[in-house]
Amino acid sequence: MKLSVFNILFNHEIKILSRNKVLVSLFSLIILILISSLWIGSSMLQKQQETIGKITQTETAMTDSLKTRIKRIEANQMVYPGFIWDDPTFAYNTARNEGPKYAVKKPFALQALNVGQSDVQPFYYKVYINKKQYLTYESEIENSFLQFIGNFDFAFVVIYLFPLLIIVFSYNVLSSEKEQGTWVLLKTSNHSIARMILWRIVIRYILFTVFFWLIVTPFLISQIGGSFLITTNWAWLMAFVSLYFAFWFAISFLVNSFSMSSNVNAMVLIFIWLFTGIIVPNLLQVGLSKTYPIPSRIDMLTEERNAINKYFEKDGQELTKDVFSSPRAMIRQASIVTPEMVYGYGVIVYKSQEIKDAATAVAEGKLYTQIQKQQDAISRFQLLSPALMMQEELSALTGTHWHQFNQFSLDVDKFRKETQQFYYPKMAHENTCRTFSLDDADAIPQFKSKDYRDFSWTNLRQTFFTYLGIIAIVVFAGYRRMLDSTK
Amino acid sequence: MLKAENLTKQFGTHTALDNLNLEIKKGDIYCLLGSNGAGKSTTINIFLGFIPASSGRALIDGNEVTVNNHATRDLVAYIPEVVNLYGTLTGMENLEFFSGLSGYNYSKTELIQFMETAGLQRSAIDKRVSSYSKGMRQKVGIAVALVKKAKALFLDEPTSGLDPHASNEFSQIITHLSEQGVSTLMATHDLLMAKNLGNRIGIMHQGSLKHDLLSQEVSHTDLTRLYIDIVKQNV
Repeated sequence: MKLSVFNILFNHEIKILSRNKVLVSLFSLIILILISSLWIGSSMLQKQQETIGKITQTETAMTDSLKTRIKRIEANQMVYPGFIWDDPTFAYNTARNEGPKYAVKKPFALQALNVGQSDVQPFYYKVYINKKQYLTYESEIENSFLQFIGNFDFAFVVIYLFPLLIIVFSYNVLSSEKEQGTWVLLKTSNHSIARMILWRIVIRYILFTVFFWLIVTPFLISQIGGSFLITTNWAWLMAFVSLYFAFWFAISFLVNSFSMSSNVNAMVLIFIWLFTGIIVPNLLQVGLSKTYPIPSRIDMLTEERNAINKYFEKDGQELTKDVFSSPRAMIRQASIVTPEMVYGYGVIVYKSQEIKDAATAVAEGKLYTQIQKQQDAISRFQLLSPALMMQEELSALTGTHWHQFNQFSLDVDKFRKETQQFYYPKMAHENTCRTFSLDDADAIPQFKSKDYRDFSWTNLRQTFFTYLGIIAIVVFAGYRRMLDSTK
Repeated sequence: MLKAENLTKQFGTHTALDNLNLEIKKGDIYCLLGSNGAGKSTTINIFLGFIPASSGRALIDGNEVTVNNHATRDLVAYIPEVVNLYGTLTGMENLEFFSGLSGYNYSKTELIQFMETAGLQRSAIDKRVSSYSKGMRQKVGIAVALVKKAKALFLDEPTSGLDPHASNEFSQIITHLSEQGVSTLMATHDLLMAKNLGNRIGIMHQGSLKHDLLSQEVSHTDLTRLYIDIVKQNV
């Protein structure tokens, strides 16, 4: 039976590659790094899951404590023996003590592959009626480099290290034949050398990609279970990573087609890697930061304080302002603490929070508009850098994209408003009455946690087929060039 | 079997091959002599289709090389001065690869027979080529020609650097192939080998064929004198 050229070259490539000690050593090293990155990612995931477990325990304990205390007061004819400020039958007290619930962004299993923004963006908030998310209020994201290129995780290894390995795998497919002299015998065979080189690149791509997934998939299953296998996220992720590898093999084929020496090929390919993987994303980062500067969160704090000051100064109630700034100290100074004071303070909190929310809404809008503009621009410029494209798509597919965290943040905002709507009427109408009952404890709103794996907001299909088109053009151009240079 | 008709090759202003006319019949061993730059290798490279002729035609079994390159490649085998193979593969694996590319799928036993016919010892067949001597590599090159069932063999300084024993072994194999009807065009500097191995001898100088001799009609002394006279012209 006559073997096809593909089969002959396939067997040949397996022998040649498996006996190349440098290549095998390098490949083994990178695989070790890959496994380390998977382990790091899955460890971070496990840590998040453990934290979420503790959150659930804490929340349950708080709710149980709240109910027990209310039951005890109700059984004791509404007499609370402790400090009035801790009496859970006052809605305001419960709202700030045992009442606040956690809003959690459940980690999607594939987050183990791509930390994305999950280490700079919070995955849970304790939602108070009088505080917004801590991120918005108290911290700055200054490490913007990490925002765009990510951490040392699977995505980093795949996006930045694997192209180097692909370069080592393929930079001399044609030139080595010339340099070792086997070119002459190949030329006397009755096959197009251009086609043979193309086949060899295709074979190397298949071997590389299949071997890659054969290592990654079982390891991932062993770390995070196999539920992710049936998600469309996983299918798309496999498609994008395989596409990314194909892109680099195609580029290598094109560079090979110029029939330069192995050294020159390697240098050209390394430059392309450096340019598209490091230089372009950083230039974009600098350009976008200048074009769409993100306002400081300090500005928001300042606006908020100015608004509060303005409100209270307008009313000329300095004392009330001091109560707001340091309520417990003021109240402790009073010889008698009355239910009216608790009620009054609750109303102050309610009112001041309205003022704060209104004051920060404008600055917050500016902040998120600018971030959104930066993100939109990155999506537009994805064609300039396959590394950037991959970071974006892998983040989207693993549920760690800025967009998904932003969606979580918006949901938390909604939940906070829902919580306010639950407590405010009780606070505003209780006056001297203590109205928070056992039934209310069961009715406190709960956040509906989800993993935000949805990626329908991004046009994966268009990006995928655009890059597939680019690869086809690169291969076609390389093949035409290869035909000329192997005549 | 092999025919050059007014074959000319120019590299810029330099004429490497000047209106060469040559015909080599089935089973002939034609040895091309000449100093460096005489046009021997250029002739072989044009027949192999490695470089195009500037004018004229090179025909193998009636097929013009530039017109029907695929057909002519099936008919030829080439053994350069140094046969370069894949060093990390064994001799057998190299042969298997090149025979596969030639469209043949021989059994292991058949490939061993080819290797033995080419003169490679059985014990060496499964060793990596990186450990082979030049002579052993030449033998793998011959085995590649055998598996291809080539009708025309092109040899470029094939015995350069080989010890006398290996060189003699090589000559015997070429003679054997010639008896089977394989036509051979060999470029060499070795006058004695040309006289002993070839049945025809051509002496080239500055791209032209100066003498086309029958080996049996010229003595080694005459051949040496003719060759030196030609080389002296160059000096």
